Amino acid sequence: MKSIISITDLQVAYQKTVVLDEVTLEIPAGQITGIIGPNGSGKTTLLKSIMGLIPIEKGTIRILDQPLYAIRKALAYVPQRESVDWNFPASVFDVVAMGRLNTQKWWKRLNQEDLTIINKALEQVQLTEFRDRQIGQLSGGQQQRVFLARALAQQAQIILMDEPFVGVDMVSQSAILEVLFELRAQGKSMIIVHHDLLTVSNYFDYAILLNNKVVATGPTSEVLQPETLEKAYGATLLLNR
Amino acid sequence: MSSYSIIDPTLQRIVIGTVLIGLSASLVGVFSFLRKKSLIGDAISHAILPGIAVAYLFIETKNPVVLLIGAVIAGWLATIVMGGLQRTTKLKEDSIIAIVLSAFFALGLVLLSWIQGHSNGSQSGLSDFLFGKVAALTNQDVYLFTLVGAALLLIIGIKKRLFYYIAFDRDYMTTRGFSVRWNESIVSTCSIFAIAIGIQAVGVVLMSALLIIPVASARMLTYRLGTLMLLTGIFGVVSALGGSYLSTLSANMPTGPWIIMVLAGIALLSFFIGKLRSKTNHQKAKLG
Amino acid sequence: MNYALILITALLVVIPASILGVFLMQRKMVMVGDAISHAVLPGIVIAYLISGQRDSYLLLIGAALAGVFTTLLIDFLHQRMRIQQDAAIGTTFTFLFALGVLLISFFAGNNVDLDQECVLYGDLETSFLDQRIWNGYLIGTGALFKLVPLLIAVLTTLFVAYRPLQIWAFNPEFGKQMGLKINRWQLLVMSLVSLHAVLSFDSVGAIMVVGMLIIPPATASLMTNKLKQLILFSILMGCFASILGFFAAIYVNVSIAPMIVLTASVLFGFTWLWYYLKNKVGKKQLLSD
Repeated sequence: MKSIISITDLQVAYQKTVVLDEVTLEIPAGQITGIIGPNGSGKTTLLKSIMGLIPIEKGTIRILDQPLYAIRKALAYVPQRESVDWNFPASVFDVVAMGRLNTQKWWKRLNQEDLTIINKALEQVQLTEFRDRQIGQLSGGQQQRVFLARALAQQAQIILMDEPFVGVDMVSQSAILEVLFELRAQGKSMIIVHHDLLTVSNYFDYAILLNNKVVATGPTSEVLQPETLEKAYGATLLLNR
Repeated sequence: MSSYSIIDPTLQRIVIGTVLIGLSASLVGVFSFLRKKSLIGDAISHAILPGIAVAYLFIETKNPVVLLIGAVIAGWLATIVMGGLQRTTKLKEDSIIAIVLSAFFALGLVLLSWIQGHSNGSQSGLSDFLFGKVAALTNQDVYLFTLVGAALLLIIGIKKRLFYYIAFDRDYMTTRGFSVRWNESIVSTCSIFAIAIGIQAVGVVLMSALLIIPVASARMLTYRLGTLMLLTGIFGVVSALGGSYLSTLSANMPTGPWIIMVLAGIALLSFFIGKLRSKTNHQKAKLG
Repeated sequence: MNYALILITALLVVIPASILGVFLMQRKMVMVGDAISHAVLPGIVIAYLISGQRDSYLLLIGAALAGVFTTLLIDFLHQRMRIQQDAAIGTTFTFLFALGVLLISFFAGNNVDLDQECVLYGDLETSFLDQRIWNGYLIGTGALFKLVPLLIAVLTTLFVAYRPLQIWAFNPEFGKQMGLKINRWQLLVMSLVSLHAVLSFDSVGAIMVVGMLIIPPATASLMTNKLKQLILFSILMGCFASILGFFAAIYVNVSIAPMIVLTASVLFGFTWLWYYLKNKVGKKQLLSD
């Protein structure tokens, strides 16, 4: 298995609680990987550690065998929908345009190429007609698609998403999934924190089961065994296929 | 006091001074508004009082540069204390703002009271800072404002998109490699400077109104950044000019409250226009 | 200068503030409290203009209404006009306070009683002059007559409604589920805050009202998180600051009310330092385990 992200002995603490305890794992390339586990198991923390959003006590994270600062361009982050105020004065276009920001030359205005990429991203998530709509006027699923479009506009290799399916209607869910499967076909890698066990096998190829420690990693079918789930959730769960 | 000819240097001074104040304060206020940190401006405005009082103690006359330095240092101290409290305690943000506001302001009032008790007439200018007195502006003040104002407008003009994006989605901008903390401290510093020059017109107690109300009103009319900033700037200038004018109509009136009254009128108007537009849009959508 | 009377007046302002502030702090309504303290000004001025005196019941009612009006205005701006909460608060109190200041400066010529700057730091120094004599005995001052009932009202509310207030402050979600009328308790506390602001205004001015609403409770919160202790420590801190501040102000010859707030801030500062060092040591121990 070719891995794009290698994590060794990751330790993350918040005030007096240990959130991630000596986590060591590999995330495969070209697959859709789901990070699952009970509430408080450190899923979002894992994602944020990879993105360099929170300080870590110890451990190393290598992306494409490089440290974060060297390889930022390869990563696109899709935060939780609730992390942003949707009453903010911005249109759908404004948000997606963030994906075309040039970190080195931030003062540069959008050129023709940028516009093409933005419009294409909007098409991919089927939000073209909402281009100039204020983001607060969209449904939850549409807002999630805006975030995805922004990530697409970055044209990154690896996309990390934090609970993208929470509170999202069926139409948006399938629209998003369509895009993810397309990206996978193009050889891109997706890492997704997910909340709903029932849909894991439908969405993900590879799974990481967390409970502040690594409980299991591997192809979804292997991880979703009753024994492993019990270790994470502390109860016997029956998942009907 | 109420008859000025158009080429009267006093009038020119007041007009230029207030335009600069109105413009820079309201535009800087856009970004505190976007970050939802409008009330921090209130804490900083109040915190500036001791800075000015100390500066007064040192030089005993109204030297704009020294006063500005004193104000900025006080503003910075307040910001640092707020940041420190945020990091080291579990106190919530509104508590922290209120603590810093009251503590620094109390210090300022104590110093003010001390100066009034121990000094002679030179301190009477100090209380103008409480509620603002545009008529007290000197040429030196205006030169300083032009400098500071121009610098502020330049910084905002160049970096507005970045500030805007960071206000919207801080985490995302961090993942893109932008130094969010650095940019946020630039915004804070700009706020401090804008407030430091603004208090001459509006006064310490009411300064936050000039930061908040223009952009809050403009927000009711648009959601695009460009238009938002344009409207905000206009509202800032109109209220500063209008309020200053109204305050000259009667002797010994403080300027600040009048500026707020104009702002209140603008806010009300914006509300009604905003409501009207959304109603017609709604109707259009229904019919279309 | 009658030290005792002045000091008692200060304490009568500080104690209810210290109590009410604990609840405001817990509910993140401190800045709303700040807004109310500013917003009562126009109410006070109008009531004063109508009644011609500083202590009338009209004053009480009108200005207390102003306080409630403030919360309503903030809510209106926030919910109906869709302005974000911090901007709604800022807009409301600056507007109302500006209105009050304007009213004062319009009518300042006629009266020495109201003064623009006075509204900021009050007039503790001369409050003892307004004496009430009965049968030849000095039974109090105008300020005392206003503040004692307030203290009684606050203490009574605290004792009678302790449980619901506690739930309102610390566990509103749970309270809602239990059928507790959350809004009613919020209204009650906000009304008391308004009343307190109105009655304390001419004694200590806006700054001290706000300062004592937040600084003693915040100091207490660094020392404990149990409600009963919070209230107790808050009161103690407030009283301590009042007494120290009072004598310091006399000694240095400055205005009393802001000096009390300053003293409270210094006490807060020391407590913060203690808290910070305590945590640093605690963390070191944790990491070395």
